[in-house]
Amino acid sequence: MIQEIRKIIEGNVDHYVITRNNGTSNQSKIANNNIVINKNWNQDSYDVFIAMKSGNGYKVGNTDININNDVKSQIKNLINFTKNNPVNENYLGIYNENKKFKEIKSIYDPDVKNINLSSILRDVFDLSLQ
Amino acid sequence: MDDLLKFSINLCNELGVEWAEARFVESNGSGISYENNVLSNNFIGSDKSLYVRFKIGNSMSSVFINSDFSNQFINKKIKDQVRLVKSVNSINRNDIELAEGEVNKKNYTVKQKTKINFSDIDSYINRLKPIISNLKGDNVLNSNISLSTNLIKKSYMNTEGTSINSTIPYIDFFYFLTCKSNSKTAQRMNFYNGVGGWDIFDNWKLDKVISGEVDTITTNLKTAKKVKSGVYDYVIGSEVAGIMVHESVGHPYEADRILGRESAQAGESFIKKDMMGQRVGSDYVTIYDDPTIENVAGYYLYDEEGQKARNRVLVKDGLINEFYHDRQTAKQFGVKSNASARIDNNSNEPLIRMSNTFVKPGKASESSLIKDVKKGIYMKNFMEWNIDDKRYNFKAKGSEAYLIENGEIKHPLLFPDLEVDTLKLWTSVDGVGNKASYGLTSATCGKGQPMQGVPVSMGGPSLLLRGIKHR
Repeated sequence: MIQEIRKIIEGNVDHYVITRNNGTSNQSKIANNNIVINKNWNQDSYDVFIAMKSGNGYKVGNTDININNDVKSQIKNLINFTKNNPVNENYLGIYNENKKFKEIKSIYDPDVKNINLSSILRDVFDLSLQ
Repeated sequence: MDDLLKFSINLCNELGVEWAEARFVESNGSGISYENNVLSNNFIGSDKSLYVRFKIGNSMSSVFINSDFSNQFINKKIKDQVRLVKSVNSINRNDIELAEGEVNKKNYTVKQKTKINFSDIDSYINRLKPIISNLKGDNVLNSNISLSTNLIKKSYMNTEGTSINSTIPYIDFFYFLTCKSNSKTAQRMNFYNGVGGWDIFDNWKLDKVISGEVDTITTNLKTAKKVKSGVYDYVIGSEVAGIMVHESVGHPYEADRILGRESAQAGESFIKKDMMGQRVGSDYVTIYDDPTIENVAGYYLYDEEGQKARNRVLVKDGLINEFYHDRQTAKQFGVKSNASARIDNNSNEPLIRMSNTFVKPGKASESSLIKDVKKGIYMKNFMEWNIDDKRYNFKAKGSEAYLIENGEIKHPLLFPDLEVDTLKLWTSVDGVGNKASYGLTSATCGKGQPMQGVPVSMGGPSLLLRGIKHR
């Protein structure tokens, strides 16, 4: 999808940033020694920033792309929306150099994946009630 | 979207859940913001999402999806969550139960007289131009303003047969100013949130409102005097009445706070479950929360559990009359839900929230309240406020405020305090203004983790408070 967005944008704008927000997350909310709700989130969306040269400055625009909507029309809307905006005097360009970050391994305990959450929670409740 | 909801509800039934609800939300919106009169940010966006919440055994659980709406994916995610919940069911000692709910079927749409076009950024810019032009004087050190709109379409179904469809357009305007005069500075912020089309925004006449505030603040900074310590009667305007009613009555009357469910996040309440009927204010004090008021921020006709909204009478003639309930807390209190479950975003669980909270107007004019004061403070609005975790010790810092002497308004006062505990505050009410002094202010009210900010309004008429100590 990120390449599809890129293809639609390239050639139409001067600068762009595409950020994907993807993943599954969970939360168990505990109150009064009870799990009051177990939540599960499944997210996949894209934040798109564009900048278009206009005179001595740039017009900029932001959108979030939902993959269940028509991507082409969302980008088209963003470009039209941005064109109609005034120049953004706060925008001075984006940093062009690629940045890479080392994967951090040492602080993550792989055993946490196999943790017995039920057992730990029960112990926590029992101890807190003593 | 109905197909997705039916699929989710049928699947939950097949998996043996005791109760389930499913909600599909489609939103479209755009917005623009300025910092010091220069465009700082803008966005246009749309979103679609599915939320399913269900009760199985003694646990409640939810699944949010905005990624893949295929039956296969939904099937997998709900089945996985049911499996997880079954595995943790043994931890819970207390069952989560729901009070009996109404079965409702309703479609409703809030009409826009002047329709909002999200792509038409000129319609936003042209509305902000007159406001910005008033903020260019030397007296305004710093300004932030933003205007956004959002059209929310919701479809809701539950296993009991309730089906609600709603379409509600929201307009949100916010400003934050720092004004300077006579080597002193003052800050002013406010929200204007409404439900409807551009006509709602245009009726606020914000260019005049905000330029008037800048003029008053800068003029008063030149002549305002500090308040001498002592005991004063206060006449407070609708904005001050609003923040007090929201913070010291609205929040502590949320039943999930009273029960401690939100204590680690939103906070606690000084109100206890068995305090129903106790006196918390003078006979003058009747406080409502009504979600059905059209065009204001907290408007809705059915809550997020499909229950029909109605006016809630929180305090009647000074006595506690009603708390805010969803179906879970209603069961624990042995009452019916009063449709207080709200969400800010489809990814979040419904929580008990306020809507439009206000003091019932009386018959006195504001001028007659002032005339009735020998030594006092007239606090029209406020600059900042705070309140403790249990919603008992409150403080507001006045913005536009004046000394009252022998029934007459005298010179401006420099940021007077209104520092009082909740019981003293509401039992000291000795006069309630009429409808001419009544107003609602809007805000975004925060609660929960992840944080949920829902649009609300708050207010009332002018109020006369007796014998408040100023340090």
